[in-house]
Amino acid sequence: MFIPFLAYLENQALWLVTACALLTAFWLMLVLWGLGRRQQHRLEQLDDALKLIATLKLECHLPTISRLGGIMGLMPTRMLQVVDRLLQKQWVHLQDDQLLLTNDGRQRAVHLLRAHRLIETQLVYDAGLPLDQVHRQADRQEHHITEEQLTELNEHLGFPAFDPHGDPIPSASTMLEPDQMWSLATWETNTPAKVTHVEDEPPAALRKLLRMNVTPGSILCITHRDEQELLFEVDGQAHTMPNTLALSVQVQPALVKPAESGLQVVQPLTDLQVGQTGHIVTLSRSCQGFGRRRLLDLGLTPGTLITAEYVNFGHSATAYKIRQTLIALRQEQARQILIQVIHSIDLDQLEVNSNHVT
Amino acid sequence: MSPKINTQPPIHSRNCSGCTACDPNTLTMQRLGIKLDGCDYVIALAGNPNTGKTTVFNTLTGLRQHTGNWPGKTVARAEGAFACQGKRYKLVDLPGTYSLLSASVDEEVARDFVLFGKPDCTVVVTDATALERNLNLTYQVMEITTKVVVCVNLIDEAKRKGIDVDIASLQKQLGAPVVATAARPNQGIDQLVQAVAGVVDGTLSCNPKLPPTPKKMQAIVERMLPMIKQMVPGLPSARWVAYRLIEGDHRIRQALLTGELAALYPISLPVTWAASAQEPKHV
Amino acid sequence: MSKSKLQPSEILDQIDELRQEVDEHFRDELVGEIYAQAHRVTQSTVKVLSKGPTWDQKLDWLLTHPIWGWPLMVLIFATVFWLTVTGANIPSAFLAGLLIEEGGLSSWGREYLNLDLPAGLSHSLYELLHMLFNGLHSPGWLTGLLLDGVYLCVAWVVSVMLPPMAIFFPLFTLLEDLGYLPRIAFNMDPMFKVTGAHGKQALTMAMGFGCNAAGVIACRIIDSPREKLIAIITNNFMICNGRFPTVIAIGAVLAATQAKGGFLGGSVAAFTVIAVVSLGVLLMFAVNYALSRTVLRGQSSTFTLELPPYRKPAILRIIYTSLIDRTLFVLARAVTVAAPAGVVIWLVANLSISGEPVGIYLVHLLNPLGWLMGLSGVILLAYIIAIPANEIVVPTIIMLIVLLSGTHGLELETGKMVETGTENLAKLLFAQGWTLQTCVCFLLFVLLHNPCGTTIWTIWKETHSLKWTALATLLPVAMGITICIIVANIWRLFS
Repeated sequence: MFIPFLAYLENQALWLVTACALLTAFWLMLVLWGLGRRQQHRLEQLDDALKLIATLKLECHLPTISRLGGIMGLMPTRMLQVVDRLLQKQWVHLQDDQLLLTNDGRQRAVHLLRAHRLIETQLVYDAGLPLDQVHRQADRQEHHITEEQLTELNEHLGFPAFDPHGDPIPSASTMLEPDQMWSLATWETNTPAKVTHVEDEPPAALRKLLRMNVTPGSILCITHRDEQELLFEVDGQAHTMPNTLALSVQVQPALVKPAESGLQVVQPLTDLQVGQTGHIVTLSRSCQGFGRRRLLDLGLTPGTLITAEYVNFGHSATAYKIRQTLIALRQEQARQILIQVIHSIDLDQLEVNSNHVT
Repeated sequence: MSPKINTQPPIHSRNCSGCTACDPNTLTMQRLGIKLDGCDYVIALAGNPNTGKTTVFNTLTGLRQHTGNWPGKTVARAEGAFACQGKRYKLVDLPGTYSLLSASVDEEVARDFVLFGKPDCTVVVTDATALERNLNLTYQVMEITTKVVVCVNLIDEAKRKGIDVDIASLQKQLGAPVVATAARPNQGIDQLVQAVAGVVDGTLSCNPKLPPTPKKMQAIVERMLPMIKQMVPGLPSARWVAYRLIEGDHRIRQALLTGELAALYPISLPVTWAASAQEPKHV
Repeated sequence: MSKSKLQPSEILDQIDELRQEVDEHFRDELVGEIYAQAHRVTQSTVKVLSKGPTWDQKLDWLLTHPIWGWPLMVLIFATVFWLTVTGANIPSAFLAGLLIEEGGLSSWGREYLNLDLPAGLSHSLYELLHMLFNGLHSPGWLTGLLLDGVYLCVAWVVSVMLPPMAIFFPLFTLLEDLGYLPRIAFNMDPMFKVTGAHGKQALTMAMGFGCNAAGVIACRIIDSPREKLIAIITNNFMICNGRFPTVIAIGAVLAATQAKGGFLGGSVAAFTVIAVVSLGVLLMFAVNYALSRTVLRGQSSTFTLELPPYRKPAILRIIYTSLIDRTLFVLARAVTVAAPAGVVIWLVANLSISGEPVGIYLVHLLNPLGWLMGLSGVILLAYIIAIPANEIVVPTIIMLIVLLSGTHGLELETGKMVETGTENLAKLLFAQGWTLQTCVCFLLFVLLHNPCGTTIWTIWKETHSLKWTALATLLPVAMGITICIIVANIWRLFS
């Protein structure tokens, strides 16, 4: 019984080819999987078009087919296919050359917006991902989440009202009304402004803003502007940004004064040299969710003394002495902690009345 | 029996009627390893990572859970047992956490056990060389439960570094029994067992002195407290539940909604319990 | 009172309304209050008496130094490996003499103790058992199955694995107890950062040296799911203790054939181990990089790592626990796998179909792929048998060679078939047509093949995902086959 089978197996060439083919197939699959993530799904494209129509309306632009195609970067023929599918699904109807959302379409759009913002909130707060890379992931996930899952997620997150970009999270039943916001590019100088929204695309621009601690909730003040760039202060530090970048920052008038920026000179913790001691003034607003909670739990509360002890090879992380423990932080975290350096004379005095430091 | 606020170190509290054999020299502690059945009480071991919790656990139970000097060593819950003066205690070694608030997986495991597992006593193991940081978790545990023993571990390490901890004063200021231990050379373990036994049978009661509610929140928390009390009358930790609700903790919300918490903390409490369920005193 | 009739859901709704009034800095202020009180309490209860730098501060300065930290780290690990490799020879030969090899004890005594042991000790346990079985007139197949199969395989595992583990584990536990592991994570963080992974992965990697399954469990300390997955998938690139003996054995063979023993020989063996470990670390970074840029794209998340104070290690306790808990535990696992594997090996070598043992068919079957990879059918067959536990690969290879050649070619007498000691092992392997190239490809394949059964199971339990478990299992083995094919054929091209 075994003999024909073994004889087949004895045909070594066949076997070897099979083994090699399997191996090649594995690598091919892996490569395709890696690359395949870049490909957009058809349904996702429909959803994107729908979202775009809704947001265009929010921003008071007319959602026409050609404008939509232009923004989405689709060829006219492909765009028409997408519109056809949208009409088939009865998510939109055409009025002249304008695309208007039907009730179903509006519901779907709210669902997507809600999903996107809740997923972003979860990614930042639960998973601790940095703000500049959640957008893409939320874009992928928003299409595959059901309303029930969203409700669950909302409960799990504790019913947040705003996403980490500062955008309001709509409830399942309501539609958003555009809120009064101004672009930072046109904001007056010497008037404190609260950042309400930061455009999450392109990611490079967002990263640049994050590095300057410009995030929703932070309070900044433009001190000077010329034709190319504007000079502004945030978290007590002066920065410049090109006017083009300022276009992606939306602000509202700040009701409070910018955190006593004129009174104290604060620096990011990265400025603390090994051997120096500082005291923590505050954690930057760009530090959110899990990351912020973890830093607080480790005792990095305002007023705490912190000493830089060791820097590692490549300077990617520094070990800090804080409340008698040694804690290593990467530069990204250290940048979000704002401190004041204490000079050695002050330090001696501080130790004498250390009871007052709380 | 009315609860008394014991401000003396537990080693001097021999005026209790329930344990005549309460003498550290004749303490009959017995390590039971993993023989968990028939335990009278459940004791939880909480603490920051790397404070020697597992060493304390091993010393008490005679087990040999793996120890190592890096944070996060204990990733799973370990259980063991020991017996003292005829009572059997089940000891649960919780994963080391810096806090019970951040909601990472191990913090949830620890938090859920302290709140929903309702241990008869929670031992907070702290590192004597970094007491300030360790008190964060201690206060959070004391916020949830009043049946706490604070174990200041690694006292030998602290001595080597020239750090001196005034245990009596610490006990007075925390409002909970404090025991100094050095688990490796086996110091203070008997006192720890005594303190645990005292808290479990009610002869040693705690009146935790907790940090005040942040000023801006005071009004809101005060308004929430009666509402929570109404849902779960027997809860010793209404203020903590209020904090969690403010932060939108879904697990706690769900436990209130389904009545899970109310079932865990019924209104018909033994006298000592009801008394210690009073509002914790603020400093 | 109408109030008492309120349902929990209604009360919660009221509370939700109240919640809206609380500002976003609630957590900051809450934790701030706790720490403020903690600070007040410790101010009045904790007194710091001396303030000079203690020994651990000086040690930390040295071990985390931006320039000296890395060389010191390499030096420390090289020392550990060197001690393991050179130190394992002596007890290994002793155990082999005691358990397997005839006259092995006497030659061990002559070589290391420089004295002649009594003649009564020249018989190994294997021989004595053979005599016992013969005396009991047990049938040939039973003797073969129990002695040549089960006993031999178990004895091999014990004599090959026990000594290196008994040396490596205490040394590693010493480093772990001292508090050195978090410093490694601190030192190596830039590499992890560049490759898009979490710095704490270094801790899980260090645990992987002990056992990959333990390393995978340790990945729980990484909070971000993306970086945790990367750490889980790449943990297998760390040579675990099951594979160490294999690397050490081949290193010793290389030393015996290339460097002719002596101190230099020991260094060659240790160098082989260090080279394989370094290659593993490099490949781990490469895979980290590839994963974090393709299927697990994203940036690095929050990194906070506590560097705990050094503690004086309790030497006696370390030796005790690392021997009892780790060494014996791992050994017990290996032995439980080795016993059934011994049965399989014996069956493969002795069950015949139309006059030829099954093993010969299987070896012929695997030969072409083995040749392509620069290995042989025997080695591949050994790997397949050893999937449950990597520890038994070398013993399986030896037993397969011995049993198959015993029936087919070399005509070794059954009673004396097992020769041990590095030089004999080298002789045995090179008689089978092994070359330097075979050794190199074999080492590569030891480093790069599927995780053992326990690790695969642990990965499944940790990820609950078929996709990631499959990737973690197949990626290393596909890499191993591919790299072996490339290396072997380039080698052939140039020689």
